[in-house]
Amino acid sequence: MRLLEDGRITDDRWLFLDDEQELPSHPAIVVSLARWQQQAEILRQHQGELAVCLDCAQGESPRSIAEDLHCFAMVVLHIKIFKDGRAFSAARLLRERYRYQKAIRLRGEALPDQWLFYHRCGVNVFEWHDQWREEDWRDALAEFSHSYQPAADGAASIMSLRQRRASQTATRHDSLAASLKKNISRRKQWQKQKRTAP
Amino acid sequence: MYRYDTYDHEAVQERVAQFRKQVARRLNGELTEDEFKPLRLMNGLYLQLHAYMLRIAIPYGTLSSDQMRLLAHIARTYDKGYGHFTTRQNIQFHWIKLEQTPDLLEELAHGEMHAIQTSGNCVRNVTADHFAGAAHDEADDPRIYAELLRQWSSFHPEFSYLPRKFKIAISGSPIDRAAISVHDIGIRLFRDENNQLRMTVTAGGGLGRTPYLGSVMHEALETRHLLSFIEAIVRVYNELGRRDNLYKARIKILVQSLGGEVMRDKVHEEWHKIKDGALAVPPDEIERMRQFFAPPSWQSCDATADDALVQSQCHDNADFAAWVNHNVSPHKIAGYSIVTIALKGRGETPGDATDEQMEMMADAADSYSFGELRISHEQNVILPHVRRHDLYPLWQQLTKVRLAHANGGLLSDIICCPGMDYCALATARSIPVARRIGERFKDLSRQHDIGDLRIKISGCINACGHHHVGHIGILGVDRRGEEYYQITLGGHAGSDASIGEIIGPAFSSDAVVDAVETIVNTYLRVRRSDESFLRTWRRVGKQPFKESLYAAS
Repeated sequence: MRLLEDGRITDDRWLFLDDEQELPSHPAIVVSLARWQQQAEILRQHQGELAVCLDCAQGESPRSIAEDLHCFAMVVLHIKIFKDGRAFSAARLLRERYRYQKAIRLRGEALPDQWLFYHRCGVNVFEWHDQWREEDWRDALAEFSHSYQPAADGAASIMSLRQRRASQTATRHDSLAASLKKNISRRKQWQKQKRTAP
Repeated sequence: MYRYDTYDHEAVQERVAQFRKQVARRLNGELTEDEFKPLRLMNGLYLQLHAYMLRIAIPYGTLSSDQMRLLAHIARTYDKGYGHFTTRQNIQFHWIKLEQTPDLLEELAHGEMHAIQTSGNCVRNVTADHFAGAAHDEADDPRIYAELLRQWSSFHPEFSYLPRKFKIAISGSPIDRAAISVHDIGIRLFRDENNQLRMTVTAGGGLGRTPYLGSVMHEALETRHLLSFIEAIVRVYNELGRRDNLYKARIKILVQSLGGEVMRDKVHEEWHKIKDGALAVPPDEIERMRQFFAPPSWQSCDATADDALVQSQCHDNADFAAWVNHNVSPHKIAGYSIVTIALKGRGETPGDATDEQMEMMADAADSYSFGELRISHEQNVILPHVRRHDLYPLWQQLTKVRLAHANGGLLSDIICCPGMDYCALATARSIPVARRIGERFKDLSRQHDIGDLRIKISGCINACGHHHVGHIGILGVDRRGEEYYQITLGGHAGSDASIGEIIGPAFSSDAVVDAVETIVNTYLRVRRSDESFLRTWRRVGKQPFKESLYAAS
């Protein structure tokens, strides 16, 4: 399978392990939450990259691995159908609450029409379907120039942009008023000088 | 009125462009109907029995005369010359062609309107008291906060795929005209003992298959925390709400299964982590919003003289007197009134208006109400600021286009969903029942004698017609291919809200209007002097009604 990783198409180097499967010497493995909870000590010893897969459709949440996130090079959010919106909350919690900086991958059905929202929530890796076109990603992200709410992408919300604009206008008004005041006092001084001049 | 700035214009235009591409992909087969469905629903487009239906938002029920004219234009150009005002401050057009919707939405965008999130499992159009800004009893204008919520919820990246639809209603008055307690979230503004503005927030109210009143999540929330608190509630719901069963997916089921207290603890735990973050609303943002809803420049008037004039006009004309009595409400400014235009003419579909009537109401708003109109959840149109000495000429104009029905709050002021005449979800027709009840009680003086009596009709268990909170609620059900109607009594949507009780076995389509008449006659027999239907019901209970309805069997 290929992946869409930060907008680039890459080969999937990750191996998803079944819970019963013996630990292979593979450079990049993904384990379930249950396996992580049972075998954390062993998995920590793994030579290579380790990722955990949260089954969002079963209600698994990043809240249960908040303390362990430093162990993972990737967190996978697994949904079954695109209508299941739990991964959006999970991704935001990972990015905003737990400051998780590494990869967040969406596994399962996601439509290109959802990419922008997933991106805003902090997901940066998707499973690629060959019928999609590479430019779809760029187009999807460009569909909206601004957003009304703050989210994990760090973009300034429209509310804060308005505030900034208002305060810039206010500063501009203030500096205008200040220079006007300066001009008036300079003028008064000049008039005074003129009057007192012999 | 709120006016779009460059950001708002940009957002709705970009949405139209996005939807235009999605429609093209659907039409060329790139998107399956299953994939297209959630996308079109988030733009208010349903596939109904005969055609597509487009639901357009009228945020918090406020619109300008020009926007009303735009709706008239859409009725003429894209529909069959009429539209249907819903119970959630939306308007629906039932005869829309898919390929025309992008152009329609573009026309709406130019008029600062949209159909965004009027459907789908997302935060829907935020509704508010239709008397906002005119009511004499309000702590603050709820539209300020409704607009903040509208923006916060628009294209919310986290909350566009919730377990189920999510409805928020807000009121600024102690008298609840927005049915907040039966919403997923209900917000009531009030002033505390130090005259500080606060909000009571409830969650988990709702109608549908299992009706509940909301549980209190916060007694006195500061306004600057509005967005973070609502985000906390919706996040808890998105994470924990059921997704395995369509009928158990609303937040009310989550609140019931956790218990109000546990839900509240979870919400507060989440809220404390985000309340001082980027969602905190700065005071100047609230003030900026407030300016949009600043009162119009009231004309000074001699209120006493105007009252005397109206009184003498009432004395001379009984029809006008009846209209003033039922369709005119007190305004916060002396010399002004709030006028309800009832879209409930005899034999007409509740909530329907023709393009001509819309144009006429827009003109009336320009002449008499500072160009402003409202839509109420009772499916009526409101002129919020009418000088009392203009009431008579206004009434005369409305009479000409059959819009001066003096039945505000009376038996024939029926709330009714589109039912099986239009809706693919319905199990029975509701419009014909409303029409037949209107016909049976056509004598207005009889209605006046009966007094305040709210009938609400739904064509299926989804309860779009709010039958659970009707004084008389009627629910259409399908019984082996035949339409039957189950009756509930004693429901109420005001500040002392209650859910109606099922009175007994359902009635056939032929018998349902007789049953309503029997209920009304029973009420008239047992009421004390001018006791209202609801009070009588609360005093005497089920028994006398049950007896007279089912005596024969």
